[in-house]
Amino acid sequence: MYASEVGGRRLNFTVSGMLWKRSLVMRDEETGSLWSHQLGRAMRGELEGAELEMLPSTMTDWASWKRRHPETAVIDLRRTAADFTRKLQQEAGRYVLGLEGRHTNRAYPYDTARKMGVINDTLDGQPLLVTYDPAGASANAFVRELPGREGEPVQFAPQGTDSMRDSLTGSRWDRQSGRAIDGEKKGAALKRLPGVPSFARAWNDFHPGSSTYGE
Amino acid sequence: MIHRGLILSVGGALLLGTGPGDSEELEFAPRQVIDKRFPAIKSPPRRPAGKARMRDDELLIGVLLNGEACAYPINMLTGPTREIINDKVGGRAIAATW
Repeated sequence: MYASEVGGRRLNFTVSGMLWKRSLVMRDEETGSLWSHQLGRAMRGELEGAELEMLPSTMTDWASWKRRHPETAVIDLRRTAADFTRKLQQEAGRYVLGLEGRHTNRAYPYDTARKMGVINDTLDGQPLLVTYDPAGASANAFVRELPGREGEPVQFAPQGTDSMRDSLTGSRWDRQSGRAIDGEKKGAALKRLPGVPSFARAWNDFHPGSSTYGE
Repeated sequence: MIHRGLILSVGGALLLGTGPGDSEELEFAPRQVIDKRFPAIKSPPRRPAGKARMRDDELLIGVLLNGEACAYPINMLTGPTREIINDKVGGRAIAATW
């Protein structure tokens, strides 16, 4: 999920009909520049070198998303595939949540996140949290700090199947949305990081120096 | 897995490690597989949650921007002509893709 404004200019992207490293190459209609879909970077053309801002988003199933965001809209186009469902969990070994740090990148395997529920980690000095919510087959990443108590180290521990507790206030948080549902911080939300749900192979192809959590 | 080609993105410049073959790691070498132009998909139709034609177990990419939530079902974001949807959510121009 990218912001599509570059230098104050709105770009509209389409498929170029090209692949690079088995992955989509996008073209913007405004300049015709070619962009790597995986890197969000213009590789050729007038905008070469420009990068798109990645926006925080989450991959989950409809039931989980609708429950947390009852006011949501949903895109209504003819389906071009049918097989992307929460059965993703059964093939979790193929997927990672990729995170870009200031200098390095790290992949968090869905399998590991599923087994641990909550991963407390640090990437390039940034304390972060990767969570897994089994109901929605959803891996998510957040800054590992409580709103209003920035700069204080905090750890999260899994609680039940889809929530977690923080070590500072003991509040209970939803693992998928990062919202506090109980306790002192009730109503607050953790800052979401733009994790990229990706096939493990694609992530490593495009981020050859990436580390993998747990390896 | 340890890769020799460590890539550091510093101040916008791309510095490649210096092992043999590393310069190929990110050399842009696209291959034309479909020789046809496709118009960009812009502001596609939406439905409110209550009228959605969705199965509970279908995966989506959900985005929440400035209080506005929108879901992009992966089964509608897949296929050679459908990988990117240009839209606006919470006042921000976005390219939905995964």
